[in-house]
Amino acid sequence: MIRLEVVRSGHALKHKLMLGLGRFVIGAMPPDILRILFHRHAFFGKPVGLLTQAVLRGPSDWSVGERELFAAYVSAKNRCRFCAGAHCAVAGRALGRDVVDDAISGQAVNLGAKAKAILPFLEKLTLTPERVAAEDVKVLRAVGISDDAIVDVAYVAMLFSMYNRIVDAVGCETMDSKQVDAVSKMLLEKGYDL
Amino acid sequence: MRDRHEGLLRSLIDAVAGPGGRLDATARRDLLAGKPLTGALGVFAARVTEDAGSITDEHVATLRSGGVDEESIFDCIVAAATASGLVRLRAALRSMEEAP
Repeated sequence: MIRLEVVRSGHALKHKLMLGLGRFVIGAMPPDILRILFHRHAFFGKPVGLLTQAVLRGPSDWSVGERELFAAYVSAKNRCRFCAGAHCAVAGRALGRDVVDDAISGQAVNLGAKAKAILPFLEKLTLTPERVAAEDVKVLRAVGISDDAIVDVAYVAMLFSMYNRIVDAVGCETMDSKQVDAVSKMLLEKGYDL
Repeated sequence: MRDRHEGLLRSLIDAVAGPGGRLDATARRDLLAGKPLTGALGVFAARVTEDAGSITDEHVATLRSGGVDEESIFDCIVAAATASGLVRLRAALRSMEEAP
């Protein structure tokens, strides 16, 4: 349960209405993270939504499904059940759930060569960023991953290392299967610019 | 090296450090820069950075009973978590610069 009363219910009228109507728009109870993003929207939710939309839905060498998989992968490494559950579901819609589950469990047999090569880099960046070195980048370039694509992955690591901590610290409830299904559909179709 | 997201990242950092926050602006800027805060809020911020999954209702209740208001706790969480993200981004960008 959300630990801060101001995040649970202290929203401006516009966002109170959006949260109230959310269950009809989404088709399930709105996820707790919406309460975080709508709380003083201009302070955090709006700017982070714009950045997330650009990173996960903007032009990139990576497909939307691959970027969602990277978000799920970072979240799984950070043991954030809320974010891992949501983004595995979004990635699963795009890539197939088996592909995603295999990648998360360390057996990325059905991924493309570039996506497969980026996962160890993403793990290192997430868990031991101080150990990331030029050698790691050389490995990525050697398999044909462009610098733009590496930057995009670095932003996914940045965003989800941040989201995971906020979600866990604030105390978001893990979504039930109906919420995950509805939210993943909405995120894939509409993205993150709320 | 091109960074297509630099402008949106700057907007995020400016917002978190800016006038829309409720926690003292110097504290937010320090958190964003990775500088530790003193006192109970500093201990809490370090927990957000190092192991946010271990945070419990009691940690938040302790801050509240020590006189830290909820809006400041929220800002502390956001700033500390954003800083953790920035550490990862900068590590990647630095390693790219260093790779010939």
